[in-house]
Amino acid sequence: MKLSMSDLERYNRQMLMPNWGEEGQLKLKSAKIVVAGAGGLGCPVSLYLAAAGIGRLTVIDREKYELSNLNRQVLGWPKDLGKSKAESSVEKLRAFNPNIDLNALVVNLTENNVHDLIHGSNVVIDALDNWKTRFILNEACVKEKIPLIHAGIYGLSGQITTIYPGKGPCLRCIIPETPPEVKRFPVLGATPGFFAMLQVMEAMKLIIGIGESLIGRLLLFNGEDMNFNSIEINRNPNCTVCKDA
Amino acid sequence: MPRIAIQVFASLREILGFNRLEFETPATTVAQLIDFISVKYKPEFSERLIESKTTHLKKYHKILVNGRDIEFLENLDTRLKDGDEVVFFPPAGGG
Repeated sequence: MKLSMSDLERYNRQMLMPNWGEEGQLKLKSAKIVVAGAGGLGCPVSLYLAAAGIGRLTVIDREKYELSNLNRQVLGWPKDLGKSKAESSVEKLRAFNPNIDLNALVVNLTENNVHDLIHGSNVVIDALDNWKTRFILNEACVKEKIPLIHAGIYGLSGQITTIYPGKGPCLRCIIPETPPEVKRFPVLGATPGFFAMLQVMEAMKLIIGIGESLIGRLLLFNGEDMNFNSIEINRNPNCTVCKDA
Repeated sequence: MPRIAIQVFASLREILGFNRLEFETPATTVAQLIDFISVKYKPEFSERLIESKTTHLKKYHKILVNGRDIEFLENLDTRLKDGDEVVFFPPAGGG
């Protein structure tokens, strides 16, 4: 695989970063990322991954856009109401960057299909809105040994970490009991937008091999007073999901 | 009496109506601090954090004392001293 003339120009400003260059950009062009969810996190994540020139981007979401989604799910526009989130967002991404391989999957992520959906990808982004599916994705990523970038939000706050099977704790080590699901949580679009950007940075760093990731750290952010907490998180040696990873 | 600063996130913030507060308290452990906050502000605070039958912390919450997870300290028996900061964090599930 080679970078085209257009690649060299389009991605020039990020290639100027230390240890990025043509080599780093080629790694991105060869990379496959799965974004699970095309909602408040998934839309901005997909948009910025497409902007960065990820080779193959798969967006998974079974739901359709509703009017109340549009304060945060920025790839869903009024013309998309009632249409598939995955397909409508991929349509925009295709117009935005026609030189990457884009794939929309209108399916529910379940224990039965999750391995097929993520197999062969370099990074998976947790852009989901419920714990049940998050733990299915966590377990599958541990088994497939694929890094998973987790984020979750509520109101003006949230958390993010990078799960690297075998190197740091998995989601089950951090949250041993599944929290209760909240159906209609309060949220300003800027909150998932902010966490989505952190997820994209984490994904880029892992693929290119630069910087320090959030493996073994949970970053909490509260937008109400603009306060960050970074806490050390450890593997649970008896974790039912990752103890053998 | 020791002065303790607390920070609360997400749904716990909604229960208490504030996200950050500093107060004097006779509490010397995290368990006592939760009781103190519940009595002084909202009883739901304790109900949300503590399993009523076992009096253990519900395992999907994170409580940090000076940035360290109490799971790796002495859990609810973690001692508190003047000037400590305690963060109550229920992992956020939205996306």
